[in-house]
Amino acid sequence: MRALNLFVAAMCACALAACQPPTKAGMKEVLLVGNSAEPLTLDPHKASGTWENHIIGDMFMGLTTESPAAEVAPGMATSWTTSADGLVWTFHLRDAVWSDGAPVTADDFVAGFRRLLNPETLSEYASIQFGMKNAEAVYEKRLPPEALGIRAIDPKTLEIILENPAPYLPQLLKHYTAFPIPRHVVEKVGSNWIKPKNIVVNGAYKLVRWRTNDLIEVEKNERFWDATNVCFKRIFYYPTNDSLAAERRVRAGQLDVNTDIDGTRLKFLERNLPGYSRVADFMGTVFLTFNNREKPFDDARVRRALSMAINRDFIADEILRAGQRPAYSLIPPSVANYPGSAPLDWARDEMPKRRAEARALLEAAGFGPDNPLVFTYSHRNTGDNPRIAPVLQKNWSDIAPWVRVQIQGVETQIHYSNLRTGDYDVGDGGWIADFNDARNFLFLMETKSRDQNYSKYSNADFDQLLAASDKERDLIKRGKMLAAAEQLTGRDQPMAPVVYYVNKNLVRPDIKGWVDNIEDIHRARYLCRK
Amino acid sequence: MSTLLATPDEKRVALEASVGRSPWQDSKVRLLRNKAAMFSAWILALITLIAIAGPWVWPHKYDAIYEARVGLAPTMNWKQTKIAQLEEDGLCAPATYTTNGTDAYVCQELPAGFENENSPAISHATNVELKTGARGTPSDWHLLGTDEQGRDQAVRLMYGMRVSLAVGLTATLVSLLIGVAYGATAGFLGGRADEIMMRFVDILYALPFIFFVIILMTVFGRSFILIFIAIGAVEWLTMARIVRGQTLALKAREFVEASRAAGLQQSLIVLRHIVPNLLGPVVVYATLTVPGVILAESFLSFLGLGVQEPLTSLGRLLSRGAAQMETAPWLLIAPAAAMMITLFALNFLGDGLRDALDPRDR
Amino acid sequence: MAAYVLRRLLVAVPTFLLIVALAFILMRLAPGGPFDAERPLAPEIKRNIMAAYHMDKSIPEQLLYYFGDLARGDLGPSMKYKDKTVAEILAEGFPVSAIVGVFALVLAAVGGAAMGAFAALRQNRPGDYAVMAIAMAGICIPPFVVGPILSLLFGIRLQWLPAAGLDPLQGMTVSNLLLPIITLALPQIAIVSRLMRASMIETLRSNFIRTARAKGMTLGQAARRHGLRAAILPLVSYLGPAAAGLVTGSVIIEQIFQLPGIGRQFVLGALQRDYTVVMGVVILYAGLILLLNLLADVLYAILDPRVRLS
Repeated sequence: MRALNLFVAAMCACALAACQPPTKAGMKEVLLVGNSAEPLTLDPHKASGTWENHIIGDMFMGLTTESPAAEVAPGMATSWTTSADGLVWTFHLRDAVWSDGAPVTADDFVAGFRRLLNPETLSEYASIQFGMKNAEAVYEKRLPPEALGIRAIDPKTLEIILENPAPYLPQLLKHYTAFPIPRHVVEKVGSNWIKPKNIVVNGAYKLVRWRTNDLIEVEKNERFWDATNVCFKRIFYYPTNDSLAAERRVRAGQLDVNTDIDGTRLKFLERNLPGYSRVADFMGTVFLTFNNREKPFDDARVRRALSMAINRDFIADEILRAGQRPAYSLIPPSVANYPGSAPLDWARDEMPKRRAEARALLEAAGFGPDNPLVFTYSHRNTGDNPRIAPVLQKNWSDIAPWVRVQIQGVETQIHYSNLRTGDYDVGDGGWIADFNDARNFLFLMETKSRDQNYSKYSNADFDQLLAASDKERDLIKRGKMLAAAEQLTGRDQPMAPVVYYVNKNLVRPDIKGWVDNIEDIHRARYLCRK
Repeated sequence: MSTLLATPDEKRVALEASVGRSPWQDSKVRLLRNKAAMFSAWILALITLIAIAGPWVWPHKYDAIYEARVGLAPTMNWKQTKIAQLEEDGLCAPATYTTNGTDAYVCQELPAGFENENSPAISHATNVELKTGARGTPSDWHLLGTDEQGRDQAVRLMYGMRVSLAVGLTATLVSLLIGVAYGATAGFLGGRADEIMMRFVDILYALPFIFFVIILMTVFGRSFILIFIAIGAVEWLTMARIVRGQTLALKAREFVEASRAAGLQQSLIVLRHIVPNLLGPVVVYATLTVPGVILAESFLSFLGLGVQEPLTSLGRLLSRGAAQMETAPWLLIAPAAAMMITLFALNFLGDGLRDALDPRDR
Repeated sequence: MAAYVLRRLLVAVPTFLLIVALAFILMRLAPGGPFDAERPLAPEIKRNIMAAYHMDKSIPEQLLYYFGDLARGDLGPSMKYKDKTVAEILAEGFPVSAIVGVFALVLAAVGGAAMGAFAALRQNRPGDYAVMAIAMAGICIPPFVVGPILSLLFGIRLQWLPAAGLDPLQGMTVSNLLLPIITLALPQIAIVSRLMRASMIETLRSNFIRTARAKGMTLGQAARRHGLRAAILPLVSYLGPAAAGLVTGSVIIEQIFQLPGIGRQFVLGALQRDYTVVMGVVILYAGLILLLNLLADVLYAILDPRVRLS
């Protein structure tokens, strides 16, 4: 018994001795960020998630970069010119150095792109840069890497050659797939270059520590070309995948920022944490995809009927509750250079009228009490999706008693795998654009997108319009062609848009420089605490 | 003592003393005298009755989504509660005029579901008149409030109880059948066979529960039945161990040796002598497994692996309730109370059974 | 004793290998693989990756490859975290899970034993009922209800402790780990106290206690000096295997309190089909269970001289 008492006393003593005041958010030079999920990699050529982009984009910089409002701004390149036919772009690089002092040269960009399009790099996202001449051929090993349409004219001048004119190229070049690599480091240590002990960056922050599922620490790169304007000296990123627990940490003063908010909490947060919630339109759409290759979804009437019966207002206002807006087009309204297609004829009708019309369509397609419409709706079982599913089920069974829907929640990975292989009836999906352009949404319904065309929709006219728009240099004309293409899908409804995403962040009010924007990109070098 | 002058009580005692009681009757009497256990048994019966019969008589369906009634606190007139909510949000305000017996409000927009409350006597179409203090009909009641999808919580709680009880009972039954058969066989066979069989149990024991369940659920899909089997497939191990231990002890007893000497077949010995004597500890352990299974199912629901929407279980109700603790505490309190009462009752009943079957432990 | 321990360890090896093999096969049976992400890989690339991980071979062949690597102490690279190996991930996560688990275990053992003994000494009186009611509450209220309540109360309302996570600059501190440890320990305290109470009651009826009392000790003194040592035997049998579960991380606690332990890592790995990480955790868990079972049996023998290890 006495031994026990001694033991307990010793434990208490240890505990007290280890007591220092806990670290709180709000420090002048340190920023604590809740970053939603653990990055699977910090290598810019292997990454694919928005949460990875947050950290990678703070460490590296491409030819162009984001302004605080996520618009295109000069990055490593100070200026650029285009040839008459729009296929050759010439970039002039600024005098910048890597964090170890070596200069950033055009060859670093050439090496970066060649690495990205080398299939052995296992880049998941290389296809986004297939606009570059021979990119696809190099990726499929039909041509050597030297055939890639990029070359260094001199250490400070870079030339990029494209397959088709792409006026949105500066937009595309701020994406992490277009980041350069420090050749001198990668040649020495290979894929270990990304580890804290080897890593060399050209951005505002450098990786110091990475503990899996715990934290990622970066510190200010004093050799960054704009270092004098960078405020925070250290940043910690945490994988906060439970947005409610993260919210508690913000409220307890343990985090400065969290990159997600549970939508149903906004009203509560307005009252109890005023000034913290930041909500803005997001460049993405939540949609349902129908398996156009299987009966009965090969019939456009069935697809239209099901799309009509969805009560988007209820889902947006009562279920999601964060200011999401109902979507009747796959492309969000604020996407650049896009006039929008004509609105759907039934978008303004009241729900009872839409339901009646939906019933009529289904009856015309041959369904009724002796031929009920039965199918399974599969959805990702994370986030808001499980809450939307019962609403959809009810919306559809309200059309008629012979419409019977089963719900099935699936793990996200398996779900997308099923979508790609066409192993589903109706599935949910979300698409956040990679860059601010309508093409990046419409490609989801293009025949040559193959696996990523989840709905397996194949319309030759649609494909033709898209291919033609690629050759068009005038952004306005091009926008109209894309709109015409979208018009075709309005009737066919291969995918049914549901709502537009919003991006929601909790940001401590004393942080300046955070500008709400449609891409939800807020580079840490612009943030400061006043 | 002469039976002629004895009181009825004395007569009964004398009768019992002369007739004698079997151990089972002894146990039954002891159990019936245990107030806590009997009370728990009644509570469980009541809960089961409500869970099974409740949804039939309830005015709401468990999957009915009322678009106008999202997130309401417990109420007997949902329209009053909704107006109060809208008032708090600043979308409605009490009207400046008065009429007898009705509260009138002016709203920016006529709230959904209030079409009949419109007052045509006043020119504005957004005036809502509600009878003061009117209780409404049962279809206006939401005794435990509504959840964030506008579904009645009371009937969902009943459904959740159904699911949890069903999972608890079925998984326990599965584990019982497999565990008793396996353990009794191993114990009875003894020697090499027993060692190998128990080694297999050890191996399965060393696999983490969650891992096992995730694998089973992903291989076989998400059907309801699978959850029973997955949990049962993990719980039978302990049952098997206990049964084996008991069998080994029983095997050494004289009456078994006597049966063998008399020439009874192995299988009959197991069936007629071993299994009935196992029943005691097995029943006790089974009663105590049910709460464990209900908790295990709730853990799975918390991780998102439990039953599919729109079905619900106590675990799913609890985890959604815990998430909304500050804004909608009624979503947590009711399922938490239900789970606690059920588990308490099961545990008390199990303890009572153990006390009844083995008096030394009292 | 030494011979017994050695024999147990020897028998443990084939058991361990069987466990690993079983887990490996089960994982491979589940549909979906680690390379079915949202962005599809070109078929050529997917084939290359699969070959690199030996996944193009039959399952028994893959198992042999795995055992070969294990023999060299190589747990392999993570299939999802492209820059990390399984060993790195486990080394980072295990200390957190272990510390929370060990402290919860100690709290459960000490607290539970104290409560159980208290109740046993006041059997069937108010003290007993009160303690048992508290214990029952501990078992019947799930941790995903208790955890957020404690987090809200102490982290936000009172601001006495951090609500979740570790300290950014100091890592693991008492204030960060206190709430998770308590939440994890509560159900265990309840179970241990019930076990202790039952065992203590049984012990107090035995002859040697009666002798001690006949010699003039009070019940309390007899319990403390003689009864405890006998009564804690069932606790040892229970806590051995329970410790393995506690120390390899509780998923729920780690989720609620955002702790970077291996419990969460494990479930994520299973859901994402990160085979190598899952196998790594299974190996850790299996090893611990076998070891702790042995430890419990040895401890039992030390405490109860009547038991002879055969």
